[in-house]
Amino acid sequence: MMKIKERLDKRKARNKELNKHYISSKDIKQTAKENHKIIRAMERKNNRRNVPEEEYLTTMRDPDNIVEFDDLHAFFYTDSGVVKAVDGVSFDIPKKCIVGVVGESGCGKSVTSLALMKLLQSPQGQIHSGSIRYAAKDGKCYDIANVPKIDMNKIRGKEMSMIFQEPMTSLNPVFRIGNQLDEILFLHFPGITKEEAKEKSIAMLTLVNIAMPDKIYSAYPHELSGGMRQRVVIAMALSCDPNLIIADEPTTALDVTIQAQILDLLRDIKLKINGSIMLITHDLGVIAEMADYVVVMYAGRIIEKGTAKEIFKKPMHPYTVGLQKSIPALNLNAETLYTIPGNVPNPINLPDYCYFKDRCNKKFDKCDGPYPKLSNVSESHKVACHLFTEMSEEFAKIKAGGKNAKK
Amino acid sequence: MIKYVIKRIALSVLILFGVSMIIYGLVRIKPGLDFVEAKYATQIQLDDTGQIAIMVEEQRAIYGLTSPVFEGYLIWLNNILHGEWGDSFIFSVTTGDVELLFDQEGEPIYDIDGNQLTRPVASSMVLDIIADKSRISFILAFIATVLQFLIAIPLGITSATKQYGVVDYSVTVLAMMGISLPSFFFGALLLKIFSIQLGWFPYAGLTNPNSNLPVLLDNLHHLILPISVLVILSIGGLMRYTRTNMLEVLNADYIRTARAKGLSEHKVIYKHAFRNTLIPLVTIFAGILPGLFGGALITETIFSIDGIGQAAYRAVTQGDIPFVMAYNLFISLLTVIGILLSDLMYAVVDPRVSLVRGAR
Amino acid sequence: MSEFKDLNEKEAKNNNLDEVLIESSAKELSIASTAKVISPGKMVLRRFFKSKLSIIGLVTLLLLFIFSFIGPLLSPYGEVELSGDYKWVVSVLPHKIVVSEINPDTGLAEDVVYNFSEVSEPYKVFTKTLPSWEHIFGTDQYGYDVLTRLMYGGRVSLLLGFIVIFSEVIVGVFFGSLAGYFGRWVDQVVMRTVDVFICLPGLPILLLAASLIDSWGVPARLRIYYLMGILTFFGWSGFARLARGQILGIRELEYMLAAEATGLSTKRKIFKHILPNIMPQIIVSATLGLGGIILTESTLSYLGLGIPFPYAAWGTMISSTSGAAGRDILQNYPGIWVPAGVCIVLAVLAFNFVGDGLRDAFDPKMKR
Repeated sequence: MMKIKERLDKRKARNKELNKHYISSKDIKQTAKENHKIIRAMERKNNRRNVPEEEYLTTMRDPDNIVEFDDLHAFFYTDSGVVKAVDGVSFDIPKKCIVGVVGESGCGKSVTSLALMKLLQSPQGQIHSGSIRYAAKDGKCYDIANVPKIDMNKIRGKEMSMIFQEPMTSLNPVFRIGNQLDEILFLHFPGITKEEAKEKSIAMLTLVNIAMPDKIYSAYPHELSGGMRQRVVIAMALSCDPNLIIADEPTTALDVTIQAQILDLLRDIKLKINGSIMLITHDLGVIAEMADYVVVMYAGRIIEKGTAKEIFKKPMHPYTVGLQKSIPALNLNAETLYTIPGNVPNPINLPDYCYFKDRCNKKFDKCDGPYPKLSNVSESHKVACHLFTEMSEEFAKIKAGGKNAKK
Repeated sequence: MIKYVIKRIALSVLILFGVSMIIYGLVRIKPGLDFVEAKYATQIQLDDTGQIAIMVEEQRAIYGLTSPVFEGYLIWLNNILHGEWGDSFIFSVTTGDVELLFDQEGEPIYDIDGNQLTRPVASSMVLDIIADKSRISFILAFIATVLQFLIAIPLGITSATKQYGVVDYSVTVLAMMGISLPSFFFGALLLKIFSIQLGWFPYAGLTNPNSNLPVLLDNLHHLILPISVLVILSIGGLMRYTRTNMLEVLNADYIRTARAKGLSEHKVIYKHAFRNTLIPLVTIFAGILPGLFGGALITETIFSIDGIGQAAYRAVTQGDIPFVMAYNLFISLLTVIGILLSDLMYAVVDPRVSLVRGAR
Repeated sequence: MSEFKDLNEKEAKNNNLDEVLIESSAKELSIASTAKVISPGKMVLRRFFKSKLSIIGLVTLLLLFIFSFIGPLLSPYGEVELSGDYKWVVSVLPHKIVVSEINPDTGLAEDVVYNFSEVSEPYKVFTKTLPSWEHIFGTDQYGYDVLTRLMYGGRVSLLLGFIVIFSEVIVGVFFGSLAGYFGRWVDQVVMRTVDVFICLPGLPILLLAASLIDSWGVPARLRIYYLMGILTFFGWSGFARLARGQILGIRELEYMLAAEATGLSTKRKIFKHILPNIMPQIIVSATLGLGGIILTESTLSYLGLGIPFPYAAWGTMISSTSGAAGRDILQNYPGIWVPAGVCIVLAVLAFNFVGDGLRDAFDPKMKR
């Protein structure tokens, strides 16, 4: 009898221990209720109509920037908890530049761009706080975080456009290419005639190096290859001459030769158009080729940003170093390929210490403290790492001490 | 394109052969007297002239009952293809033709004004009966179908775009009603509440000779309850189907592209999403054709509407095998044509489906 | 800043890759020891019980079963037991005989017609009654207790449903598997046959078959078995198509190729690998199909071609409202037919909820 009771108790204790790591259904119900309330309030604010412009007009910090992300927080309110997909992201996109946003899958780079276009998966995805300042063509400056959904329609497509990752499914299969290209022209250029629209669309198709644009104009999407579909999407993105083109992993779904063509095309276009490109990718090689500025993200925060030269010549954050080391190079004789061990942390209930510390090979005691702030390596190069902060303080002390000694 | 169509038609013809074999087989399984002999058994015994026996033999020949099963099938099939579907035992309808009356010596009979007397011709031929009784069933089914689509599709779209709202929940409730409520139960309930207790609607039939409404309005008044039964029980399923397809489409990448272009939400839903939702909806049409002409058997019986559905039921209960056979064949024909049409329409509506092999 | 760079590089060289790897794998092991291992079957059950609708469906089914199978044991009345209100009735049979008699006036024989009536002993005739404490739903027009007949009707419907579905699944999965597994001409023959069966108009053909059974003069006791046979005969094609589709999908998956590579026998491949993987969808369809069978059977009973009188069936109870005599029942005696309809709705809904719940439990990847 005693043995059975012992065993039952042991089992109960073990279950309790195990269940500690799992969310109980009661918790889920409670979080769901709270989150639903928050979502409803935010959605109501978002869905207002006839909002006076003054509510979302603002001024840019630096008139040479097209977009300024300022402490952006974008969360997903799910039933199991709040997923902090983007948690305090600040960077600028200057005019006529290519800014590359780099990071692993799940680090929040796509969410940043979707937040900018206000295309987050509603109703769970919401911009929690922060501001995204955007300088429009007419000189006004909008704070996208406060712009209601219905007013976004005059910004999307005309001021900023987006190229998505999956070209095979990005085009509506039941409408012809020409129809879809003309549509965006009719939308943003009221009064344009059908012939003018067709002319412009075919000109756009020529711009993206599509051969026989007339034929493609009357074709259906399923008749084109992946590379050609991506070109069509790029043509659509360019047709209203936007200030900013967001390219979300445009080449990931294509094979390498096509990738090279598309990248050449993007570089080509950058010279011709007036706007900037925000290039999101996990491929450092693409960044190295294309970007002027680089932003490295990890688990929803920026861990390093700077010019491309600075990032590649002098990477400061251990993660950036790891990323660069992970690219297999042809002239190295490595036996084992280097990988950064471990995984991205679970985005629900992220803790307040450096997210990378469990995977970092340079971890020391300060890393158990709060999340590191961004420190300056140089005017344009910033990094968020306790090691760097510590080192630079020590270095400054030594320098000051040396000066004192000299004195 | 033509090749594909011909192939599909050939397949449909094959299927029709199979169906007719099963129908005929069912009828021939019975051992002993076949249905014509059984029907006229007593009459043959009482009849001394032998006329009835001759008629019975003629009848049996039509259905191939005089030969063993397989030959009989071929004889019957041959007759079917020539338009000879047999005579009903219990029904006869006026065909609209009239015959001139003659007296016993063959002299025409005249009335006061000097015109020859006529009498409307009655026919028992199954095809005539089907043609006659389908008319009212068609009207009933047509109105019900149009209403069904007009109500279900917009509501389905709304319940997809505003999930978990009021419309969504009522759609779910209606869908549940549609799958679980038998039409005879629902019809009985409606009759009890709206016809007997409230007296808003008539109890049976299509006309009320005492009413002072014009005939058309009176007929419509009689049709309201049966149409309600048909519509209410079927919109649930259609709404849910539209909703599911709409949800799937709304999650697709190209909808995100459309939004990124700056299109208004209205345009995104009703131009881009809806057009893609239509594609699977087309497959529903396959089931509509037999319903349009086949009659809603139970609803017609409950509300005493003299359509082809009720005729089929009476035929079944009174043993009118020729009519039941013909009715089955008729519905199968409509089903097969419906499926064929829906396949062809699918190819028309979805540009990804190419009817010509090898074309890009 | 160069010292800083050298420091970095030195650190990088001293970086012991293996240490880091061992440390992280140790962490993974410790996580593994705290992880619960749940088999796929248990996961399905857990997901099933998460949905409220599924639980409602299951509980309703349980209650219906108890009602239908245990209820009759508790009811004081039998299925065809007369009870309730009755009145004493005599039946009168008129007779006429012609007798040849001699007329006293004329003295000739002539035929005289005598009319007389034969009166029987008084006997009880039971009628329909309204609900009362002895009969919770009243008695129907034959004098039988409605509640008891409801229970017996449930028994028949549920049993019939299970047997028919079970047979349909066995026949359908057998042919569908043949078609899916062996392909080529076997596939063509089987699938064309399935096409033919699917094109048969559902209700009309059942009516034809049922009326033929009627005309053969099958005794009431055996009618139910013939009915089950017909329903199975016209229903197996759906499962054949489903099974074939599933098998075609599975056949190409990698683990089938692996099984082939290890040289398993055909029988083993089919029973151990293929069948367990098509069962989920089959089970879902079978559960949903049960609802359909109950509807079909009650429709046939309503039309008088299903479960024969005097056996109880839900459909038959509702058919008492049709016709001239039915108007009275429709209007004044709802206790006779409304509960039967409610039972049908409950049963079909319950099977549908459980079937939907199973579908969601087996494949949670679909969107809410």
